[in-house]
Amino acid sequence: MTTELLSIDRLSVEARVGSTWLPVVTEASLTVRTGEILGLVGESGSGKTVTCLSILGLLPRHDVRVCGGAIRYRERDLTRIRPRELEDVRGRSIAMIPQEPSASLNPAFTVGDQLGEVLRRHERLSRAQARQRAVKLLDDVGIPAAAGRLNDYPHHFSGGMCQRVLIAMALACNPELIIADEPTTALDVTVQAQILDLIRDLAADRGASVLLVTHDMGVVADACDRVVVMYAGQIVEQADIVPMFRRPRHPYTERLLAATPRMRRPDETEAPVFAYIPGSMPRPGSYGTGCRFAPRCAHHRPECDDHEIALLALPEGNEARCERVNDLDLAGERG
Amino acid sequence: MTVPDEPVLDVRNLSVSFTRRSLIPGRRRTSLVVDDVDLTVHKGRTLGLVGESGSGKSTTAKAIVRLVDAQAGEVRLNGVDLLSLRGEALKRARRSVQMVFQDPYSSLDPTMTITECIAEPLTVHRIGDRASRVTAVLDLLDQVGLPRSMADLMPSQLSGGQRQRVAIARAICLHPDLVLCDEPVSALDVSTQNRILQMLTDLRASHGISFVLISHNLAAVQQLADDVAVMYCGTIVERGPAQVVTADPKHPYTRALVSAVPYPDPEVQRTRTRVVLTGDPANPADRPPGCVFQGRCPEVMPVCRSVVPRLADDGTGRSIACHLYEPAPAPQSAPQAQPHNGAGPVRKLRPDTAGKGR
Repeated sequence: MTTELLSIDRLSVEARVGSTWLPVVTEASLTVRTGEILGLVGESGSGKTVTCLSILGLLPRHDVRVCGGAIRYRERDLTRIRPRELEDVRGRSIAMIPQEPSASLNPAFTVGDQLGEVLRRHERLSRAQARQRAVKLLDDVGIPAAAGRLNDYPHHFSGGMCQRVLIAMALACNPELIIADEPTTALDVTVQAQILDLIRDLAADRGASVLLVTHDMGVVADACDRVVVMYAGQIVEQADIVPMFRRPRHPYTERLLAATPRMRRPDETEAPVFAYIPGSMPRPGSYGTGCRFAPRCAHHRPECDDHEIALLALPEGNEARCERVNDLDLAGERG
Repeated sequence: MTVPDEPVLDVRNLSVSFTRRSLIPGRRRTSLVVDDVDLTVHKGRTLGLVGESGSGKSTTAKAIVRLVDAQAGEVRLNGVDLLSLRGEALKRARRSVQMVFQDPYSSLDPTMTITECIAEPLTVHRIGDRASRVTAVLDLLDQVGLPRSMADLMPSQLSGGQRQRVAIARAICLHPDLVLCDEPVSALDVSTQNRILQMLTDLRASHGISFVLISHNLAAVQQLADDVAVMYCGTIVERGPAQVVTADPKHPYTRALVSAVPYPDPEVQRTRTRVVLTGDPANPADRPPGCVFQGRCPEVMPVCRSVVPRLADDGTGRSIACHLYEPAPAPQSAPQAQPHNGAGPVRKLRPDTAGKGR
């Protein structure tokens, strides 16, 4: 159960601003295990999406580049293999569900064409075979009367239905890893619940692993087995799901949890508190020498600024990048 | 409920429909997007208007400020019916009602400085001179917690949360009685959402502004709202004090909305009972006879297919439009008000899987 499927090893990515290259991901290491749903959490600008795009070699070529580290998948380093080989992996063994469902489908082609394209490219199916499989896939993701919808264009579908089509495309070649980049952020909460159920059930049926990118701790609590928290291009905490919610070890994780909107529980009568994280994330290029979260941290001490803080492995199997990890007792959810 | 004097906003029987020409010549398709909606907001209070996209909440708000035309109904702002006003009188009345839009990236003019953005309502209504407007803008920046040095920046230099604060500053600059906020936080990061909500709370206390807060996420609404109205396909299906409605939702749709908000705790979340709705929201162009929610309702009964349920008070200040809660005219349509972990299609969510995968 705990075999490694994909392992990112000290990945560094930089982006070009004018003529200088600024770091956007700094030595990020994470492992996706077979059959698990791994959450990748952080605010916008923390480097989550760039990390995902690096796996698939989809970084904008002239402006963003991998400048260090490796992404190991099946004894190969995805940052170094030839584009042609990567094309065989992308969409077949590793697939992606993008963030904006309605913007991710081509409005000029029918859903059947777009779904069939994946199958024809990777599985070398004929048009007729591809259509047959497409119907089956649309059916699997819960689109009613699937056969009748192949000739529909994306604008005939609602946002939730478009996301189902994209999930069908991601599943088309039975990938081992599905990267879902904020798959429900653009959707209503009711549809979010349906889509999360769908991703989880389909991944379980097919034994696929999922790397689920989100900024919503509620989604993480609902779907994930393990969590990686990113802040300003660094991984700041890594833990199994329950320990992380019970006892976060990095102040950023603790604040993110506190800021997550939630329904008042029946036994809660007092007005909810409005927790938020003051300030904003430092921009690439303006990171200090020490802890990158320090300017926004309530537990900040002078020693936090002295030196680069290392990601420390904790006895219970977590990892946290905090100078004061051993003397802070941060509040989690009470369960 | 204590009812303090005359309401700031009193909406009666508001209906909005859109007509589209069909491809068949001469034929038109009419969608009833807002159907006979009543809303009341008292001074200094906040009404949460909740529902999925397409439920008609934004259209209701736009009809109130007359950005879209209503077909029928009354919108009384401080006792004056906005729908009957025209020209100069309408312009004057509009000073007291302002709107904050969802997407702070498109609601600010990218070619205007922050000062120009915030001062535009003052310019439009010819209030003060240049110098006094600049002073007003600096004061407003203080109120929304932005540094005065931002006054000369362009919107593109600000983050989403900062832009939304500019939009709020612009909305309050005419000292309105009512501000309609259409999904003010859904485009923002979780870390800044609460900051905006906190700011709205503070403004309500300091300026006595009433708010209508529109959102698809009940968790965001319940923090701020005194009252909640839940919309589905253009109609209000449940309405009442926020605490009552969110803690003990009655209408099957409200129950689904409440249970769809994930609770940020894996053990709590994975043992919750959840109502998962199937299918898509009803299409206003193709409204079924009877209850608008029948197509997705887990507790649909024969009567729902033919009779439109009326919004009826249940005696606690809450109103529900659902045959489940009607005082039984026919014998077969009188089930008890079911608790939401009751029988039926409500299902237990993956018990015992909280520790899997390790």
